[in-house]
Amino acid sequence: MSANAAIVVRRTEADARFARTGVPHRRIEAWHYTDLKSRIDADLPAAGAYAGAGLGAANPFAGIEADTLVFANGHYRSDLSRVTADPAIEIAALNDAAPDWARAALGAKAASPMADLALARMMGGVAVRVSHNFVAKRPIHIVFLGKSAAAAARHSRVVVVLGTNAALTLLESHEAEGAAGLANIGFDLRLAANSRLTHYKIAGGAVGETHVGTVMADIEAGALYDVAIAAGEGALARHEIHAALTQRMARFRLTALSLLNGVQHGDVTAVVEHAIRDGQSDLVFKSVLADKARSVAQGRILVRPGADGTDSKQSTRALLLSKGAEADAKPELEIHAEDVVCGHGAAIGDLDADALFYLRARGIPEREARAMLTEAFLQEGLARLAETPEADAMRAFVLNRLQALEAA
Amino acid sequence: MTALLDIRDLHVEVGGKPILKGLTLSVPAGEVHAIMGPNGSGKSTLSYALAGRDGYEVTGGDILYRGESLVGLAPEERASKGVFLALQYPIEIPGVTTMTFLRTALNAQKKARGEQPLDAAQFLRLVRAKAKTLNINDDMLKRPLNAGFSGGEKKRAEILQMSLFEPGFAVLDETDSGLDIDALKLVSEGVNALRAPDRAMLVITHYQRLLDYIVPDAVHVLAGGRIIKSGGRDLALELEKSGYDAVVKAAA
Repeated sequence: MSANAAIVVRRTEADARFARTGVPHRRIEAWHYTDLKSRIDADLPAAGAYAGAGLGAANPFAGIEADTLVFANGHYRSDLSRVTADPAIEIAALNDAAPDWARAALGAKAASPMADLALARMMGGVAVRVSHNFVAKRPIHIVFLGKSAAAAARHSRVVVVLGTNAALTLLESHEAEGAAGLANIGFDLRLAANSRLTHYKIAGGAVGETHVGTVMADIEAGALYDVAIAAGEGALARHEIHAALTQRMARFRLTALSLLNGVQHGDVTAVVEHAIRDGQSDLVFKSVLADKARSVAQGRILVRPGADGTDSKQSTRALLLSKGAEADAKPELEIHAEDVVCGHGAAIGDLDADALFYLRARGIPEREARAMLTEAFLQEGLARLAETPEADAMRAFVLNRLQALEAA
Repeated sequence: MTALLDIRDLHVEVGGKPILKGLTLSVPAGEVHAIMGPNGSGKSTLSYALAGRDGYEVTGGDILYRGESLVGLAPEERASKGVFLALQYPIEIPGVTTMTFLRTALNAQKKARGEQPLDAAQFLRLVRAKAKTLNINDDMLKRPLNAGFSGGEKKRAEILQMSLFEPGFAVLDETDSGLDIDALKLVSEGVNALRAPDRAMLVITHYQRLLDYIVPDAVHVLAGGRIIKSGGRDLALELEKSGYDAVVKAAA
């Protein structure tokens, strides 16, 4: 079977799987807190030609020197992308002419109905491969732009393959305007031994928009997939990550920062499979919720038989700034090995009354004291990011969003 | 002339339960008074009521500071007027550095008083000079507020705040708890250095040990939500010798 035929088969299979499940709803356990079916229609028409302004200066990563790959209304647009030629980095559109490595990785694992839908109805895609032993000097920034006059869907796929000992920082941002639609993106990530992928995602979209991002990561020996997600505008977002630690000493690290207001619904779901011994996973979910916003944090850890030496921890913290806000935390541990360390903790509530009194007793007015404590709450999450310009951009985005939340 | 702090027939309820039941106490400017009392007598309630913590409801009487009532004022308003409470257990706030906290607090107080805030350089000079005398180094100032501080470091940080904010009236709530003798000496020296003709202090303690180092001008015994006996330095020694029970019974 040719590689091209393999893609057709995978898309056909994905289509058949999606036809059986349909849009996920709350009777499916993994979607219990996020009833997507009540929000979107699977038959939403595909978005038409893009007629927006392009990548804006307001993009949170605009100031970062990076190679930029642009999607517009679901289609990968090499003409809008800016890439500095580098023999160690290959970039290819996911079409009939895509190279074998890209075709092999695309949709290699079935993970969720929405990822299936993104593959079955893929409007455009791009694949990136970093050569063995190459540490990319610049990040690659993938921007998803959307603009439609009427509600429309944008289905895209991305493949990232890192060779042995390779390293890359991937920035992901979203800009949408016009009618609220659906952005549905699937990522296939393959991290060869001792490679390192740092992924900073800033979600966004038009007010009322639905965003579903599904990542399927295959992490080999000693490799690290380190992902941080910051929520932006948009009515509903589901950030779903399937991390398979397939070889020894593989590592997965997640930092989710959800600052939500109005009636926003933000769901971060991680499914971590410790398939073999000595893997590490470290998940931190932090949300700050105003008005009637709702956050969902799900961390499912599966430790396969024989995966001894597994070290997994997760922490969920939600700060509710109003009575109408809601946070749901669902840690789930399924352990089939003996010698493992798996921890989880969750705390949901208001600011600490003792801390608030302490700051006020020192002369700091209540409003300012609350802002300080809320920022301190986030700083604990932000401190997990690296000391790089792109991490600083992410921090700035989160802190700006906090200010906007408090000003409202 | 009225005392710097004048508490008149103060009644305070916590969660609907009366704790202070007619407490009367005057502390003149320039003096240090000690309040001693058994557990559950209302010592901590008094300190929180003076600082204005939510949930400590004044149901009768008054608290006058420089002739002006504090009742009904928010904690931050009392702080900028010059009331300072050193906590028994200073709160840890990870995510806010000690330096940022100190500067924010000092400038908030200055702003409330209509004074010019300090810029970063002015503040740094001031805080370094004050910190030095308390054996607090730059590293500690850069760490998150009280997070991972030892008991002694937390208390020294409280005294640093007091010396920085220069309050007119300071309450030290069980400042001696959790301190070894060296830390106790260092903290007491810091407190003694802050004695001033225009400042009054109230030292709340369960044990007389602290009063060997911070020598009070007067000692009051708090029991059942009221001051049942007042006296000089000797009263503390008497309490130490014969215990609270004897004094409480004798006063009843």
